[in-house]
Amino acid sequence: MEEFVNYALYFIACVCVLVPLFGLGLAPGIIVNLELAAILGSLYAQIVEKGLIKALIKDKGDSPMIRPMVPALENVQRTIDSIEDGTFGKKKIDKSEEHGHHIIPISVYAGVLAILAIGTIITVGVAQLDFGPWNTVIAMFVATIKASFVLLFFMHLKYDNAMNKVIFGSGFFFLLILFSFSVIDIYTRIKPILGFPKF
Amino acid sequence: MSTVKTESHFHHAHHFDSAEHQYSSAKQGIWLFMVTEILMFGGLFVAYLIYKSLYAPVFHVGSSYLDVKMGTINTFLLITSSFTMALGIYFNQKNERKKAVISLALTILCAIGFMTVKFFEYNHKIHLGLVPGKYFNNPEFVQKVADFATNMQATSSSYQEIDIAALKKIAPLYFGFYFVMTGLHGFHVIIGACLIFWVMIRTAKGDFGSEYYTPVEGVGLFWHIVDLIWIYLFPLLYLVG
Repeated sequence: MEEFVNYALYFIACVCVLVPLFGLGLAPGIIVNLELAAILGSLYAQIVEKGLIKALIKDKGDSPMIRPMVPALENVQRTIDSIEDGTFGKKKIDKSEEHGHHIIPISVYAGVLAILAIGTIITVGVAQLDFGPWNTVIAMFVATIKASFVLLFFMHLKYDNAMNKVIFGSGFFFLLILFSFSVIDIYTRIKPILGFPKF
Repeated sequence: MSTVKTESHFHHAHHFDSAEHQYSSAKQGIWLFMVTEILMFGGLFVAYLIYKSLYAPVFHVGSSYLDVKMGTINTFLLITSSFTMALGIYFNQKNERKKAVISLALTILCAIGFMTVKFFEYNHKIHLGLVPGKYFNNPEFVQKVADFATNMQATSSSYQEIDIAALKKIAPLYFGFYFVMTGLHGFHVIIGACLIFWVMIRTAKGDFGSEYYTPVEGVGLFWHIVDLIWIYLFPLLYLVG
């Protein structure tokens, strides 16, 4: 249940920021959020409280249209039941305890170190040549590849749970908003100098 | 009575379901902290982008004043330290305490090496008067920026809009960015090295093992973020002026 609430909070945070951002303004944003909440609430009420899924499986489970969907529907019903009695997410923690922590072998770490070293040599080497504005693009591209390897293997994000990935992704998401709005602002007001002439 | 502790005997706190639950909660907290770090440095990177777009010649001449060789040495020191930090966690997971302590000690050595190189770089800059704000005292740099912009205007009519007087006035700003960004990063390196020293002592005391190594993992995440920021900082400041 707590995992579900965590994800829901992230979703609400994203909606609350995104809706006003994309041109609706603050007041219409609140209205949209309320409507979304109302839609989700009514859906929840219909499906869970009236037991629509149970009724569907019981009444029309034999019909050729519904029969292939019955296992999936039962799965959804089980999830809803587990949310209702508060066991949702608890099983997951027990499961991960069985697996223990993923230990990455040294050879992988050494490989990542080699990639980082090669990336550094490429960045320094390319900077000695003149590709005009492409120099920045190449340097940032190589830096992003290096950063991804650090994140995925040194920081174990590849084997981490989805929650930590979402947390980290949300950080980059908000940075992207700041970055893109600044770029739009600057490059619509001035003529940027991207490359320099040789003399 | 003396007992030799061969493995850590860890019991999770009562408000957690299990040791795994406690571990993942601690790690989630560290990741949230990492997000704030990225947003803090991200703000500086965006400010750098804005001013670089506005006053490109200043940043071009400014980056030629930085020593690429020293920057490259520092990059290699930091990526090596990230590797040894990862090994420090690995050997803790494998219950090989001695190797873990050696890996963590090597990480601290790399951090000290990084700060030593940084010291010589800063010393040189301060000696030349290349410091931010009102303490800036290097007319030669300002003249170089002005000459560079004049040369640019001579090559193409598309550069006529460049305001040389404004460039001369804003010139010290490059070193403002240089000192704030590398300084804040260096501050993180010092704090990170102290934290690694702390987990190294605790590893040597036998507090950690395959059952419990959360502090090592958390400090490791912090150290890798320091490396991650330098991976972007190095090309931005030293290479793509």
